[in-house]
Amino acid sequence: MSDEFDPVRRLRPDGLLPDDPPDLAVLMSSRRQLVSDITGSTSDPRLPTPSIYPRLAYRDELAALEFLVRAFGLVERREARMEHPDGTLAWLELGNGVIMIGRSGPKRHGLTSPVDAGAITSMINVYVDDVDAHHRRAVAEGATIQSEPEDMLWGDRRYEALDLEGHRWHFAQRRPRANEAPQRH
Amino acid sequence: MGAGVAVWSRRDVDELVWLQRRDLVPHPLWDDDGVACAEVDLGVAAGEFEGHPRCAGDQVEQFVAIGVHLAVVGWVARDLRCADREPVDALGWPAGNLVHQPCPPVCTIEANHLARQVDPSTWLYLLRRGHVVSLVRSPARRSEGYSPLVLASSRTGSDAAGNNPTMTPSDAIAIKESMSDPAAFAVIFDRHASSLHRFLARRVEPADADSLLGDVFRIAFERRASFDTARASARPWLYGIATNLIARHRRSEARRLRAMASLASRRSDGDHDVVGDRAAQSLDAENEWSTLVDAIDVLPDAERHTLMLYVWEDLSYEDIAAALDVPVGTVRSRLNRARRRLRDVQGTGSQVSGRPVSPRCDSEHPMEGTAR
Repeated sequence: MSDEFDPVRRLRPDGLLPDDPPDLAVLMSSRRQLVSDITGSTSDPRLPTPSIYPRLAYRDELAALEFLVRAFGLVERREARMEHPDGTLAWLELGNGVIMIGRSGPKRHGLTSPVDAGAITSMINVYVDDVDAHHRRAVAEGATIQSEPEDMLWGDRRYEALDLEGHRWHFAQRRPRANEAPQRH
Repeated sequence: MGAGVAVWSRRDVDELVWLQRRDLVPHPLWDDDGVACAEVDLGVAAGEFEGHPRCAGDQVEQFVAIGVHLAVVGWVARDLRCADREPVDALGWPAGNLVHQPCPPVCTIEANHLARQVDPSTWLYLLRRGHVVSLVRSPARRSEGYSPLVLASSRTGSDAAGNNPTMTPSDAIAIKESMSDPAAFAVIFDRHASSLHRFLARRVEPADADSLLGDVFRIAFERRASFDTARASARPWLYGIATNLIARHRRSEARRLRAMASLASRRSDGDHDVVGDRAAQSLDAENEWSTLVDAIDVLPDAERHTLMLYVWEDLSYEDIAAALDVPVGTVRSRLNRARRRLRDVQGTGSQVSGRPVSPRCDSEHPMEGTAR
């Protein structure tokens, strides 16, 4: 689009400042406040954003989002989703961990999907409460299993799976430790 | 892990019988007003659905679509009948051609607590089929130890493949729901918060944008009874509320604009190859951007807000009219007046009105070039 408003358009901050997505914490705290105001309830089981969270790139980020929720049981932070025909950004959480997913490509920080790279350069490690149940669900939903659940040397139990585009995921269940409270979250 | 979607219907329809015969309904239930409830394992359905004589080769998406149709009969017939001003008769029942019929204007699915795990994926299936669905908690049936979620969506039409790019999420349903169950309003936040935050962050300084975001949705909640439920999307309405809030932060708005002019003039500066002229040109650019910002700043408020919704947010005339609660003709005339005023302050061939400046960084969501 080009018209007499072009100069005004050129003043739009997204064209002049680096356009990174907003801090998830801002949306989360704003949502928490809203829900507390309108329901009178202050309980929000959700946790704050961790200081470190990875971002994964997919050719088809919406398919990835659907798959990660359906097969791996991740939960989307819907309020944070940024939708755009050129690529949607979404945040998914499990326990106290968060990952961000978006579309791959040179304009997306140069992030590449394993499908295009032909290689995996990272692995996401996830602790779950019941790794066997998690595994059954992943199998039923069509995840590619790289290694079946097995007990490890130090007592954890784990398996590995690939998602739709070949990102590698490692799911494990912690062995109960004698010196820790049984209920953790 | 069970991936269940509970499908509700007022009638004992063929599809439900078929689902039971195929062992897709492990726990058929009936409630006291004759509503059939089927809990369906989506994982099983994905494989078993292949055997449906009418839907060979179809996958889970179609299955979910059928679920929606079943649900529609129950829910539309009850309280959602008028949500989108569409008659129940338009639903295309009975189900002979369900998969290939255009979907109904209002669809809801109830999903039980097991389905809570898969709701977002169901959501996405429907999204891809042209439905846009969101979670709305229903106050009903909690007493039975059954905590249904209502997935509500609407659509205005679709092609044979079920694709419907013009589909908009039915915020109207969620807002109606929130009249009796305030928590249902959170879905409005979930759908629109990131867009509204972006709008605020363009118009005022970042710290103000963060705090105004909450105000937008709090005010929207308080005024939800006045939302026109004939409109499917609440986004223009939210833009209007946000605009009113921005209007109370004139200084922050002016500072934001001035900071952008300063950035733009530095960018213009960098565009020039001839080093010797740079100082003079830089001064020109700075003056011109400054002049432009001054001109925007002194526009009447109504014109400035209309201009920004049009130019920075790429809203249509109709959406701006809905946002500012004025006729479309008023939007047009405001833009024309703003255009004339801005033209007066811009010299032809100036740097400001010259070739576009390329963004310094890759844009996460490049809005440039998004045609309406």
